[in-house]
Amino acid sequence: MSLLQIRDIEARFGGVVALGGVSLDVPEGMIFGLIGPNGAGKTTLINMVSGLIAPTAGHIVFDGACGPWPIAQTVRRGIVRTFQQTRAFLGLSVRENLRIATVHSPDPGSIDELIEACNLGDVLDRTARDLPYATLRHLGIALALALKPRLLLLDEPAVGLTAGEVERLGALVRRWNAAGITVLLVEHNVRFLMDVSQRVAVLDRGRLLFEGTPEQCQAEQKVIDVYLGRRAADADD
Amino acid sequence: MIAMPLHKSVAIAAIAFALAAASTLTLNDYFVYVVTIGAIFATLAVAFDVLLGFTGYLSLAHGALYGLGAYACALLTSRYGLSFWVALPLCGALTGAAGALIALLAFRTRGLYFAVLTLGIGLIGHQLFLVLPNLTGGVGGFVGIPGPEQPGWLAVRATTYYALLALTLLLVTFICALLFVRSRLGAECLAVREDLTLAQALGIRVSSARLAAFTFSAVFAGLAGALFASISSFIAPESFTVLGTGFQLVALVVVGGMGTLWGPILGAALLTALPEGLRVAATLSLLAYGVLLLIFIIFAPQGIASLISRTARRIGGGGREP
Amino acid sequence: MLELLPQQLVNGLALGSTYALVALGLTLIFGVLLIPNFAHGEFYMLGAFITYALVAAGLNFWLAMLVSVVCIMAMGGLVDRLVFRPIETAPALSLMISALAASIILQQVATMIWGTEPRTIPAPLTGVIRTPFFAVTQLQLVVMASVAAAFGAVWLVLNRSRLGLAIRATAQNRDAAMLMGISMPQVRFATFAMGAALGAIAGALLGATFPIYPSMGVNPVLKAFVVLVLGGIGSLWGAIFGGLVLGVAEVLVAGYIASELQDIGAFAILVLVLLVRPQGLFGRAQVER
Repeated sequence: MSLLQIRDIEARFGGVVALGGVSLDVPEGMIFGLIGPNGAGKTTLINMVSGLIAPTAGHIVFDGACGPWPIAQTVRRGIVRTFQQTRAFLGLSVRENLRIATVHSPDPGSIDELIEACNLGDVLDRTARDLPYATLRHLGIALALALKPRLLLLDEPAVGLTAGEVERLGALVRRWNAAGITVLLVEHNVRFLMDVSQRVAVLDRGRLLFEGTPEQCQAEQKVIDVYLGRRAADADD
Repeated sequence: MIAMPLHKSVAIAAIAFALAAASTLTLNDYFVYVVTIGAIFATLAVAFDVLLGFTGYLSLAHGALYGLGAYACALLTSRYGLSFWVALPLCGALTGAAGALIALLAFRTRGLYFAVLTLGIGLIGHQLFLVLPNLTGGVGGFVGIPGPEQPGWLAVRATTYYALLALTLLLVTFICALLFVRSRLGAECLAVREDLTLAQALGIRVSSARLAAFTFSAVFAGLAGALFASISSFIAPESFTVLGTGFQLVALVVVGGMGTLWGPILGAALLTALPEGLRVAATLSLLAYGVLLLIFIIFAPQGIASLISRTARRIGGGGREP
Repeated sequence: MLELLPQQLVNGLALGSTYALVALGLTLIFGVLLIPNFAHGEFYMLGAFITYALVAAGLNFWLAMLVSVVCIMAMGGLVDRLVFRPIETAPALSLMISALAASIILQQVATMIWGTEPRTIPAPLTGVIRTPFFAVTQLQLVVMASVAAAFGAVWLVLNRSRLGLAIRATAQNRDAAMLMGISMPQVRFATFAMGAALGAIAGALLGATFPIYPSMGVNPVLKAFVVLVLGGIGSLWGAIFGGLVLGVAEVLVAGYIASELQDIGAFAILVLVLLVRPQGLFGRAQVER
């Protein structure tokens, strides 16, 4: 059975329909990629799955229980997210950041694992604000991992990273996944997404356009038209 | 920021306490009084900093909470004949409850609205002290509050005894605040201060953390008020105004150093005791508060504490900062 | 009791007009620049004192008020330059604290110059107009008229001038406005000058009715925050509406319940409104940084 089932999720802001009845299944243990052009509703979907906003209709089934739940409960059930504009506690040191994230962790030894898993060992006493961009990104993800999620929602983790950094990030994501964390990845960087994900869904204007393997996706004409084609056109501007 | 081990912080605080306590045995009555007032304001400032510095909320209701503790103590000891030692914890509990209630209301709002709402509550409190003459003595003030009973074995002047009480309260407040900010709740408060949305996304119990911080600061503000009333024997509404006491607290904490616990004590010592000791006119000292507050918030928002620790680190060879 | 109602309403509207005038300046500065300018009460206070000093030196009241308004406009710009510009990018908490500091500094400076003894400006108009139901002083009429005039003037500047367009753009989105080449120092100065002028007008007019003293600005500015909460932060109409509502409510509380509850009533309204609508009665979505 799928770990996460999204059923007919709908989001309206005033008269604007950001999501018009989207259903998706994310099987346990998978890295699941979600792409779509700007305004397709990817971030809205993440916001709803993570409990930050309540959907106007539809529901979310996680591990057999039926939601959506408010954010605190969602986190307790094991769904944790990161943010597009990486968020960390900027005024505090990396160590303090991790301490805050592990405040409710039953296992105090887990901080060391995290430091190791996110390559933060050299910067523990640096203030988060002073970290290089890529390291800050790792810290943001470390904060989420500290909660030992079963499902990790990554909201555009590769934005602004260099090619080398993206590659390292991909390796980390695979490692966490191998350790048993299911990942729902929203990404603009198509190559990164196709490379890392085992299954891919495409959103367009609030609707599900396609779902399948990365190979199928790249061969699918309507995806190329709507998404890849438009990106190519954007690049020409 | 590298945190000192707990026992080391407590030891340093105890030494400072012992030095200050010893000084009150030798100083003349006037300077002992200055130490007493300084210690009471330092207590207030430390309590206030748990909310302002560690949780990131500017409350302007704390002048009124301080007053609530003072009037409660005055009523309990003079009208109901309770011993000061019985009244003191009652006052703390009362202001704690009032603080929790205010927090429940005020945390429905954020940012500017939070400051404005607590400002309104602070003003209502001050007005109530004025318009309830049966309870508070009105504008004329509350006269004849019995002082704390001095045990026979402690053969010191009454003024010295009061100073020792004030210093002890400060020490207790400091240690409690230290334990609070290093606890789980303290870590959660820091998270609230730094980024509310992220804190929520990480499953941190935002409302209980900031409720705890507000209640904590209210309890100790009330205790400080109770002690102030008891050793002053006379209190009047003008001691509990929003722009007097409420503003003074902000100045002490910001100038001393928000988000450190010894900073506010330093701020209180410099800004309360010093003008009092030098007998500066009230207008001039308020002006100085304003100017210092402005200078610090613009040029050194982390206050004297960070200036000192930065200098110390530089002199110490900067070995601790990687 | 009820036969006094028309008179109470007139008094309430007159009082409310002064709140509206103070609130108009406060809401302008907050709406455009997101600065909670607690020192606005001191613009009001100094507007009264400068008028007082000039009248005492023999100047005609209206001329004195004009000079005072110009002085306070310059001071508004100066306060922004010294107090708020240096921490433009700091968190809202710092802005609030520096505003508090500015407020205290100006109050203490005024105390050093004029002392705490209340003073009065000789009223320029002393006539009273009587109707069968109520009486209204000429000065009260001037105050009400000046609210209408001030509102009209601010509206014209905002909606019919290039500068006003720049100010409105800034209020919508400061970064975008800057990217479009709008000069931020200019917008800031204009906003502060306008806001300060509104405060000074209120102070001078009120100073001709009530005693003036250095801490006289504290209550009105707090009331103005109540008005902002009532009327919605950043809304000019809201400032007028909220001011009038508050004035009438206060006078009714004082008249029909107990006069010493007038202020408590005002702040109780503040607390109640914020509890029911944490974003203000007509508030747009919360502005936060």
